Amino acid sequence: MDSNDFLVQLRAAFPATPIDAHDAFEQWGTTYPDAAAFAAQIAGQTWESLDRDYLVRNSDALGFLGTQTLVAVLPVYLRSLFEETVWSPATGTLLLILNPPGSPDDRGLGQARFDALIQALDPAQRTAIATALTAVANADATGSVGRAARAVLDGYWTSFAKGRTDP
Amino acid sequence: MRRNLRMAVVISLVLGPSGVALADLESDFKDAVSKEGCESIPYSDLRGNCTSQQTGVTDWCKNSSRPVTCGSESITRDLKKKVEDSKKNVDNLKQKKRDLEDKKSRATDDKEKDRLGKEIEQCERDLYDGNKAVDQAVADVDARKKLVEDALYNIEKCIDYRRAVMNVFASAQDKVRGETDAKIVAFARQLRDKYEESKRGHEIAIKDKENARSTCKDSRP
Repeated sequence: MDSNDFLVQLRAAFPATPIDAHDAFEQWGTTYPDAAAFAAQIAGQTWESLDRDYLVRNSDALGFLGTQTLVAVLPVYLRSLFEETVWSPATGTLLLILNPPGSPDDRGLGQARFDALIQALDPAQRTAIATALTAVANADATGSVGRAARAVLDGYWTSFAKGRTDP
Repeated sequence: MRRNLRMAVVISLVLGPSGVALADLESDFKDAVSKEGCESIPYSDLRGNCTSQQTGVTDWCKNSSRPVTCGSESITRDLKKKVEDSKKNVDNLKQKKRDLEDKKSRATDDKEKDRLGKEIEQCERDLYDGNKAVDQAVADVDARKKLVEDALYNIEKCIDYRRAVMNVFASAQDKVRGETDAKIVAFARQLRDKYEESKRGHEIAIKDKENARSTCKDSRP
């Protein structure tokens, strides 16, 4: 699959509706120091009109965003993950937040927030996540980032990869 | 300005100095509950510290001119292999040239001598290209080394500032926990919960950079 195919997949999975950034950090992250600036960046934008460079440089927001807003901006990060793989400034944070809880060194969203994220995602969106993770795992098969992506995939998302059935 | 001053004098006459302080504190807590980021800290000293440390986060973690990732260790491995392979190629070409020269010196047929001479010329051209490839591969490893060291330096700074921001919120949490005044205790409880809920976000941001640091250390040529 190339970048254009993945963009088609993302567009089909994530509708281009204006993002409501009101209370974007209220649920889990009111102490995010760049909350106001980040909310101002995304308010009223669709995911395709967002400033990708700003978002990936501020990927620390992903650990603070409320679930609905996280899903709304996720396609921007997945696109960066797919296209830039190990070089995306957002790859490390994405691998942490998409990592299912329970691993010995779990420093991701935690059970409640991970469950909320899963509940908020439909099957097509989960498949898009699996595709982006697979791209990183394949691009860096022998490196630590690729191995981490493979572990995240195997931990939850691999069953949503295209051609697989739901678990 | 004069009106505000008069108002402050009137309030302090009515409430006394401690009453004014308490009214200020109540207002600070009320404000903090409705705000985000460093502004959600009701204590001006900690709030100022938070803002200042966050400037460091912006400068060292989010500045596009400062690398904070090394990509993958496999990049270094591949570059080093390229150096080895290109050096091996040059060694092979040198040996090939020596063999050809040896053959040429022993050749008696002019046609054969001419043919071997042309082969030697081609070998010299290949050697020139091969040496250039070695230089390029070595330069690529040097550039990689510089990127890795720069990224490591930036990541250390980034982690320090991120930890400092998290520690400010931890101090604020400790402080609001100790608030007992009836007028602010409800706000203090709300703030304590807010700080607790968003602790994960700070931990994720730090863990991300700790992982990046580990990748960079393993990426040193």
